[in-house]
Amino acid sequence: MSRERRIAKELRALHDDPESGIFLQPAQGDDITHLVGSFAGPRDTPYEGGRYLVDIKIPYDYPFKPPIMRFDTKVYHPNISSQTGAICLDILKDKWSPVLTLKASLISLQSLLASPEPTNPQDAEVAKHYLSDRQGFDNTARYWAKIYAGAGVATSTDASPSEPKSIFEQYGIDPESVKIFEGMGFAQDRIIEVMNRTGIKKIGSDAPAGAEDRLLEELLK
Amino acid sequence: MDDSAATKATCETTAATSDYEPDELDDATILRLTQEIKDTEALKTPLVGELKPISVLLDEYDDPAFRGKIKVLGGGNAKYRQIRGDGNCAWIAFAFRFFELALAYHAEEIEILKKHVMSLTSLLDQAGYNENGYIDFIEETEALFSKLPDMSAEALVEEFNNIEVSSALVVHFRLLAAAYVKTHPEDYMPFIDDGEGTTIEEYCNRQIEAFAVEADHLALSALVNAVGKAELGVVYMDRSAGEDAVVHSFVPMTTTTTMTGEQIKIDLLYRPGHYDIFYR
Repeated sequence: MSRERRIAKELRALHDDPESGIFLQPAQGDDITHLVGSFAGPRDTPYEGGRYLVDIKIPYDYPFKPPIMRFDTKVYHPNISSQTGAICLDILKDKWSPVLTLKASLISLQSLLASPEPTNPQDAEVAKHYLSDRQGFDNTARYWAKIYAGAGVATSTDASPSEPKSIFEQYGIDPESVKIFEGMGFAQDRIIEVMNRTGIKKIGSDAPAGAEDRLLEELLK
Repeated sequence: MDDSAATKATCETTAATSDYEPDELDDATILRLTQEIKDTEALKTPLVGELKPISVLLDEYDDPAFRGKIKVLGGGNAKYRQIRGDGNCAWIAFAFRFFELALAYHAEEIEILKKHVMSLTSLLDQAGYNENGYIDFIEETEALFSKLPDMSAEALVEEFNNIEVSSALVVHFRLLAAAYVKTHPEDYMPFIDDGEGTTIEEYCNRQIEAFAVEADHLALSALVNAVGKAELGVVYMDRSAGEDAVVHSFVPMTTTTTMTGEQIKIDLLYRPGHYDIFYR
């Protein structure tokens, strides 16, 4: 059985099953050994409303070796590297079985978004955030879903339903502090992400000592 | 069975720690490179090797505990066939020996055996496998059966050294074993229950279906029960005390009534972490 035949078969089966919400297509041209998969962020999670793209390289000995998958869309999740999109999931490593398919793998990634395993992290810092400040983690994850995965305006549970709050209000971030960092050349979304993650929502005379340095250090990583 | 209860996310932490440098190898790269080294090493051994006198194996061991057992076992006349140590060795060894013994059958007997093995597909359906997921692998088995009446032993070795063929057979036999466990939970649950809530499904996913995970005792028992037409003897070559190597026999719980003739008798030689085929 050739790799191409198997992939073609999988693509056909998925094409006939649009209700699965899982999509696969060649990354470029008609090379079916390099694909892009996509699925919706699971409901009732901070990823809801987002659309997640996954880069998929199919090794020569597929399906006897697992597909090589990496998130193209930035995801804030303990088992996904916030920098590289590398994924920590056993079925994509030593627990791969040739009866699994690309669709099954993408569904597993969707479940991974719904059920993080912070005790076995890919991204230690995100996992620390998840374990120490769940609300803050959810806020950041939701914010990332919005700016990177195209999720609609996030409504946090305590937000007034009639009047959407500004990003700054929603996260309790001082807009003036953000402007200062923007003046240094950092992108606004990155500044907000770092402020959310570190919990340092403002800088200046009434902020804790070293706040600016700490944020700068994070921004420069 | 160490990691049968492992969580789904099982990675070493690397990225985004404070000393993280984008230029350093990330987790996935390290894993890939390690696997490449292992694969390269494994490639130096054929998937299924030539038949060799047991004395060749004996020469590899200085340890008297091993040497004594090999001597007692074969009386010097036994032979063995080395199998590549890639985590699939028990499965390839079983499958190869199964077909090698069938080489001696008449064409009609091969046809009956083929029908029997193909009939086991219903077990996969009962266990809930999707036909789309398994059909490609089973077709390789069927194709091999069709070639068998005209095949020489050398050609069979060559066939099994085609990684696509042997990998497909490995998957087929793994699925049969897993399907047997899933359809006979009462027989296997007592052994799978590790107090951590591991289910039959999880056990099968992680220990039997997972490609390149070594066969454990339970998996071999399930394989023999699923196939129903072969008995398996595993000769344990370890450092345990005593002159005699321990032989563990797996006999199908219910021998199939659709088959006539003798059971196929397969012997494997087990050294810690690896299986080869043993010829008495």
